[in-house]
Amino acid sequence: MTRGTRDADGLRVDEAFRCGDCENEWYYTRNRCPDCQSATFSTYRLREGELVAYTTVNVTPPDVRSANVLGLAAFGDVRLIAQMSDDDPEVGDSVRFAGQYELREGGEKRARLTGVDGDG
Amino acid sequence: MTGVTISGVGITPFESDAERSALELATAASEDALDDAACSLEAVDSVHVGNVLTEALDVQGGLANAFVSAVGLEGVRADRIENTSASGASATHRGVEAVASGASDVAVVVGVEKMSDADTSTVTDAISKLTHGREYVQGITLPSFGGLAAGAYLDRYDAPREALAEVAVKNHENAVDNDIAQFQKEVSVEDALDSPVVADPLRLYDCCPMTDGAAAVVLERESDAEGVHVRSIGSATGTHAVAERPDPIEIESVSRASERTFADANLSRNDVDVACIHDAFTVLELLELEEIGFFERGTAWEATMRGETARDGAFPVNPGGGLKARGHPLGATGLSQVVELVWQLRGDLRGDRQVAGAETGFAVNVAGFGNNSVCTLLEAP
Repeated sequence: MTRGTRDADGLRVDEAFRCGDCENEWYYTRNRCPDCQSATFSTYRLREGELVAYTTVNVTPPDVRSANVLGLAAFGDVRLIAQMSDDDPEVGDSVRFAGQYELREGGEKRARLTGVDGDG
Repeated sequence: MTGVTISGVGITPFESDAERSALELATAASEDALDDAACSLEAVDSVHVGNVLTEALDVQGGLANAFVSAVGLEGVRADRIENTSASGASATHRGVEAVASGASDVAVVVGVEKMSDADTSTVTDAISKLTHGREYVQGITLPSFGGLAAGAYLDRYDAPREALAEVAVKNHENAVDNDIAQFQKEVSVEDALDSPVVADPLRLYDCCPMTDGAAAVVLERESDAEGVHVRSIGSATGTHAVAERPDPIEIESVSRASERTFADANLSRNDVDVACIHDAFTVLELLELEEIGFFERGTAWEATMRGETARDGAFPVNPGGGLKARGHPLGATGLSQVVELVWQLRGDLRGDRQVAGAETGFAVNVAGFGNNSVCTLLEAP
């Protein structure tokens, strides 16, 4: 897979998938529903989730900010890891995607996770 | 039982910046393994090469073909197996299957990596491309997953930060008298706690280094040669995207692969005397020990702090220093675990370096952050 396809999944960072047959939801792109293998699915926008874990990464690839605060968040059954705009989050925080940032230098601008009550 | 025996092993020193090329390292390890097996080149009929980065770092394509030519093997079946950090164990798996099925009489399995062929950021980026595309966009690296899991583990079980440091201290201590280890020096809990943060709460001393090195084994049928028995070898995949796991501290590929391997061997966890665990990050040693069932969930950290996993403890783990201190040359790591177990099970080692009375050894080699795991159970000759 080239880096171009990886960046250009044609998806917004806050978009997830919903199966048209069994209504299962998932985030990480695949060709079929992981539960019922249906190839019929659509995308939807993630709204509010909960922070399950986070880490501040100091050693990052050359085109990624340092420090890179990453959060593991649950939007219902959908879980994902994404960059956070808050430096000091807490497990259990409510989070949503907001803002426009270059997640990798020179890449398309995308939203980061931010605390719903924060100023992020 | 597979009916396959490991008749010889070879390994190069693991080091930060080897003078020899990847091809030369692989050749040296294989020649040592063939000498150890007292096996001639003419007898070898299949070659299985574990390697991750030589193409990504623009060094060598077609490594298996270059290797057989360099060693002086002609007309054998040969290919290269890539399964990220578990390439070495996957190559071993393919070699065992070749001999067990009768397709091969004598198999040479070699794993090699020369990570100093490129600068650190290039290698880090090459490794991070094993992630899902939607993970890669976020700048996620392997230590990022380790930091998330370590934070969750310490929170869940109310474990002190020192618990992670103790894994590093133990594995460094074990590497002091391992002549091929990259770091033959002790570190203290304070050293580990004071080292720079890599991915909070993981610090530098919680993370394995980048390493150059090669390791090899010769496999033959038990009816044809003496050696350490391969009781079973098994693997399983996990989710590609790490976040899709229902629990951030579970690594399902490890539990699945280990269940298969114990079932195939008709052995239980209690039968194992010594284990090599894939401690790319200190927290992984704890998580994997619990996934495999050597310890109950949430208890491996206390057992480690009590010294149970020390080389003279009730259940020695990583007696050669593990990935943390022996080093982690990606494609060679799975084979270096097998070499360590063979030394222990043959009783080759001296003094405290030898685990007393080791009859059964277990290894787990993990690809990515649990994308795929390969387990091996070995038994003394």
